[in-house]
Amino acid sequence: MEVEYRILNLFKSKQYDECIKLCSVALQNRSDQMIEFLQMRAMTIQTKIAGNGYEEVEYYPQQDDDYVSTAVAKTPRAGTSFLRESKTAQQFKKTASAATATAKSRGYTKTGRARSARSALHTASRASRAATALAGGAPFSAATPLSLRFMSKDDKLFSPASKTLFEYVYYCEGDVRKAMDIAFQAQKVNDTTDWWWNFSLARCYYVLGMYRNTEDCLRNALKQNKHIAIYLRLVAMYVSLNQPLSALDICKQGLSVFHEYTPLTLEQARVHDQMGNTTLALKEYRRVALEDPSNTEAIANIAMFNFYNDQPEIALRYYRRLLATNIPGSEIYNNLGLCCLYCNQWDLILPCFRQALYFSTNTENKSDIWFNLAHVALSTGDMALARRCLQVSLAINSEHSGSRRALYALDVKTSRVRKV
Amino acid sequence: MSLFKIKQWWSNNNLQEINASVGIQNSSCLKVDKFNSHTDSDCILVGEEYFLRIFKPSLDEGVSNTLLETQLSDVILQIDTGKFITGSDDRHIIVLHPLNYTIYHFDKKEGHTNAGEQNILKPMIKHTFTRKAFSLTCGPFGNVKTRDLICVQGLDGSLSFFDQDSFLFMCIFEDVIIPGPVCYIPSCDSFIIGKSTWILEIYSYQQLREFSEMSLRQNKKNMPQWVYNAGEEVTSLQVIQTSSNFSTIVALGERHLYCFQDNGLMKYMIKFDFMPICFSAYLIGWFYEPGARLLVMVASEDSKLYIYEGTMLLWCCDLLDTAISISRCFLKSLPGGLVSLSDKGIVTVGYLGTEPDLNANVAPAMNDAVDPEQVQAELETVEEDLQAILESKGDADNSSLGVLQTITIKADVGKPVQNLFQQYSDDNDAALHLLMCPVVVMISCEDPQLVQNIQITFVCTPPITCSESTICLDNVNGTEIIESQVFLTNDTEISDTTAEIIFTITDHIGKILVVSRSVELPISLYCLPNDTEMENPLKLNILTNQPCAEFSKIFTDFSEDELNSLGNSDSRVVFMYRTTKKSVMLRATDSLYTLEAEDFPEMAAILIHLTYKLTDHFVRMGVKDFTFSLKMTKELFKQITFKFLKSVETHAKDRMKLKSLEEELNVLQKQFTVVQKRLLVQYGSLPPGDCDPLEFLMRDTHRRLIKSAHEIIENKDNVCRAGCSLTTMGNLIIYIFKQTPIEKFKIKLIEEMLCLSSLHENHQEWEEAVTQSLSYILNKVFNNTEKDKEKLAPVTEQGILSHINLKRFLKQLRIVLEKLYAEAYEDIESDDKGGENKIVRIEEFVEVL
Repeated sequence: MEVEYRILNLFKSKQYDECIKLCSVALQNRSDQMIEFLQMRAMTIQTKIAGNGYEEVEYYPQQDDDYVSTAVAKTPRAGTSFLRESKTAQQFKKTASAATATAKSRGYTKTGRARSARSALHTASRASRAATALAGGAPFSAATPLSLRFMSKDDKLFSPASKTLFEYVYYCEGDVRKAMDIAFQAQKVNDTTDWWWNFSLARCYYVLGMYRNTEDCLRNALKQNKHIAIYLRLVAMYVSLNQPLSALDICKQGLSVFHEYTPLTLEQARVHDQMGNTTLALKEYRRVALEDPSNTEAIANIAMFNFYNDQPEIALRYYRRLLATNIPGSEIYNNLGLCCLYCNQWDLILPCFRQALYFSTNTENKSDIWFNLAHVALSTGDMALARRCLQVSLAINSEHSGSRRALYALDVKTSRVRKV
Repeated sequence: MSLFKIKQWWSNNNLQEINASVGIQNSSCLKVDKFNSHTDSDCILVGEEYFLRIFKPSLDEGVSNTLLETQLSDVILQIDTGKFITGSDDRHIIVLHPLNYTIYHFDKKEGHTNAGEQNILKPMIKHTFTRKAFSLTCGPFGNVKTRDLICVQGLDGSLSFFDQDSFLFMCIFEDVIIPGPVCYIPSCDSFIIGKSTWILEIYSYQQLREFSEMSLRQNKKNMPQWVYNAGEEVTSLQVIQTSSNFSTIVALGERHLYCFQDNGLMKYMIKFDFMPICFSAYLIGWFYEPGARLLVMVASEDSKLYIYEGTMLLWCCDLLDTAISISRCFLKSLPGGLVSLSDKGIVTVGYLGTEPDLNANVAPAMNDAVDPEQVQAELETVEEDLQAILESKGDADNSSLGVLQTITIKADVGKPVQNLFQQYSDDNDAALHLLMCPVVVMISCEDPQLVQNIQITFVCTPPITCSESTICLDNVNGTEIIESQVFLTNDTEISDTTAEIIFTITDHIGKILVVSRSVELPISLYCLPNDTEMENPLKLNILTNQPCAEFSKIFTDFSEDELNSLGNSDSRVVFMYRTTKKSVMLRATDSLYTLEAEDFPEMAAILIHLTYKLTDHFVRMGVKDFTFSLKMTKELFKQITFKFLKSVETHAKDRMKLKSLEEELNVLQKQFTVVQKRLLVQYGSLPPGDCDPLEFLMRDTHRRLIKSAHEIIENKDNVCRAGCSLTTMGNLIIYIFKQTPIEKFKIKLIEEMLCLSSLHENHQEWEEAVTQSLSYILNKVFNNTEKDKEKLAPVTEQGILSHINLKRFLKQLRIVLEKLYAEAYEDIESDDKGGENKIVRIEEFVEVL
């Protein structure tokens, strides 16, 4: 079979690794524009996957450097920004007074949720988009198709190739400025307005931290075409600008176009959750779960809500479903273990935690699990074991403040007992 | 993400070759259709490179599932079925090859004997063309009722239209680089074309026909009926008739699925969070019924199958392989099956099944029965072991001593050597670099088994540096000799005349032991004999209980001639530092040595070296009871203290200056970034704005950045210099106190408090470190009064380097030193009356943390 057909077959069936290999073999002997183009596409898509380029919504760490961002809104009015910090502080106070050990074990399930549901998928490219693109793009540089790179804007192929070229430069080379240059040229050549260019320019501006321009571009794109990606990007932008109300407004607009649409509903739920409106968030999460029963994040959140609502049995059922449908991980077993503990299913607690330890990979996770185990030991009344667990937790991660506090509380208690 | 797994019903897995080459599987080479010859069940047509196979899976034993397998003359690009020949009521098979297409009639012949029936593929029409083909679409174009017409898309994106074996016309598009999907919409007689601009364009058949004529004339632009700008590459298209009047178009992009009506109205859009590979849309019920449901199956890259109705997910299950093409089939014993073609060419027929596989993900260890008593017993043994380890502290130490006994360490310094290999330009430091002094370490180990590895670290205080600071030995076999070169790097005060060597030994059980040795560097490394006369020098007297030795015997690093050359004699020597070019005069009269210098920092190194050499000399002479003491007057000590405090102040001030410079640099850097960003916006805006002022601003900021960076470098040198003189003075003071009868522990405390070794090149945060310890020492060791405590406590809301805090800091330091002095010398004065003083030289090298 001729090599170009094989390349096309591989490209169509999305086997990009083999496709790139075959392309570079084919391009050794001759130059073929279509094969070069295919190679470029395949590389771009691979980098895009690695760099999470398909995910429109990425929560960046919020920018607070006055010099860096050009955003205008600096002092949010009361009730318009995320109340995350004040809320956790409250929680902390409440639980700290109740019992030393439960405080953090509850706090933990929250982080466990976040990791299992969303961040676990995202951590690969938490850093800036440009940086990830660079990381992915570097190894390819040797095999970069050259002739397409030198295409002049007067070439008749420029306008069909420009989008591919843009994505290649943006993702594989990570050169935002050059990508923007292509975008401007392409807009000049095509007299008709194309929402995609506005959308792509918004991506560039976003990476550069120029939120005002991002907003303008996205709004323009939205006027031309109502695409989900635009809505999601607008939401992401408002979230990183710390304007949850605007983000919610966008969600609402989007939902009026795409009814019952899962990603938008999910965004709404996340924003509500971050603002501390748990009940509203839960409602949205339930809607998501109805629409898409395989959505992990929604189920995990519903389970978590039930857990905190003193319904560990129901939470347990949700977690069991998650376990059955997902790849097992330390967070899910940890949460299952905690649910078992509160449901008094003693036979399952330790096996769950053992599995959690088996799957856990990072130190924070491990020390959290040991901390929870200390809590299990405490509820059986085995102070010595609890103490050992806390010590293990601290040995794994010496900065685990919950363990430290609990150990201190245990010490105080035992010394008091001795004195009496 | 699913509880379910697809149930396999039939597969050609066993019939497939194992080593298929990459890329021969084509997703458009799977077709499911019914033929007149086999009316009872659907036939599955699969093309693989040159082979065309027709399967009719059934459960009957003894009946072959493969109806036909034939090798064609050319590579198969696509298989499709339709009524291509007028007058025939059966459906025909069309096979697309790169340069031709062939229409076959699929027929069955009853066997003559009992051998069974025979299936034949009879070629009907073969038509060749010149442009390389990519894909094929067929249908009743132009509302021809009797037969299907054929449209072939070339690799260059051109569309050629054929009727049976005759060429009709051709359209050429200029905006196609990679040929995309093309589909025919029967209900409105149009074509939907996915272009490389990532736009879906819909043209009517009539339009395309006109377009082909226009392209000859080349004047007008052809406007499509409607377009949709998907914003991503559309990988496949499917048209399905959903009602008697109109059809539905389903398009799959990279991450989205779009669903339109044939008039361009968007029905819905789905965003996936997985990579879709292929899809198949199908209708439940008949299109002329109102209740027909449109379902879409999507196969993902991680071999899962998702079934959607609208945007709602109905079902989700695991596929057995990664499918590159899926379709529905209606077999005799399996109505409504799912056919999938994997990337390895395996065709699988399966059904969804409803029995969930609940415990698929659960690890086996979960189900292990645990005996609580056994666990408890294990726990107890662990506890006991832990206890045993905690109690047996002594034993552990003894075992490590054994390791130390097997290792002998010798450290020595050689003579400074002129370094002739390295070339230096004529700068001021040239002379400094020329001298290299080797430090040689010999390690011998009797039992190499006991030692895992040894790490040797050379520690020198600036301006003295080592060529190799760390050396690792993975195993010690017999005796190892390690040499490192010591030399001077810059022209600051010599603060410490010793080089410390730290050995970190990991023994066979992984225990780490640390041993240290220190060697006295030769004076010739940092000093030269000189003959400078000094005016008004400061004097420091050293009283010994032995008559003076000749200097040439003491300073053995210099030869006698060298030492006595420049007007020096055995009782009078002048040394000049190589670094600071300052000199110190030594005189010897009776049992009294006198050091004369312009200032105290110069004295420190020579003083320490002299006393070391003196002790060494008398030990070699065999004199056992050699002692010496420093003569100290209150006035002299005051001067020393003053000098020390002055050096602290200089250091602090230099640091403050450095800090302000660094802040300035930070501000400038941020300004630079902001200007750059604005400029970028200007460049990018249409039309480009006026950039000149911003460019001017950027250049100016850049100039200022460079200037302040230079200033910082210069200032850093100053801070280092100040740090060195601070260390020197501190060492001198501590040395003086070491010769007094104050208890050793107290001196050690003071030494630790001053932590002079924490000053090292880039680490100059000495004041911050000392403030804490200082107030502690002052309050606990010297029992400060409450009033003093309050008065001298550092102001917390201001930095340690602030004016007020620095003043208090200096005051505190003075108090400590004065108190120490009082303790040391006022005691001596009173003791002197009693007779003997009991000053003993402390030979011990005290480690500084």
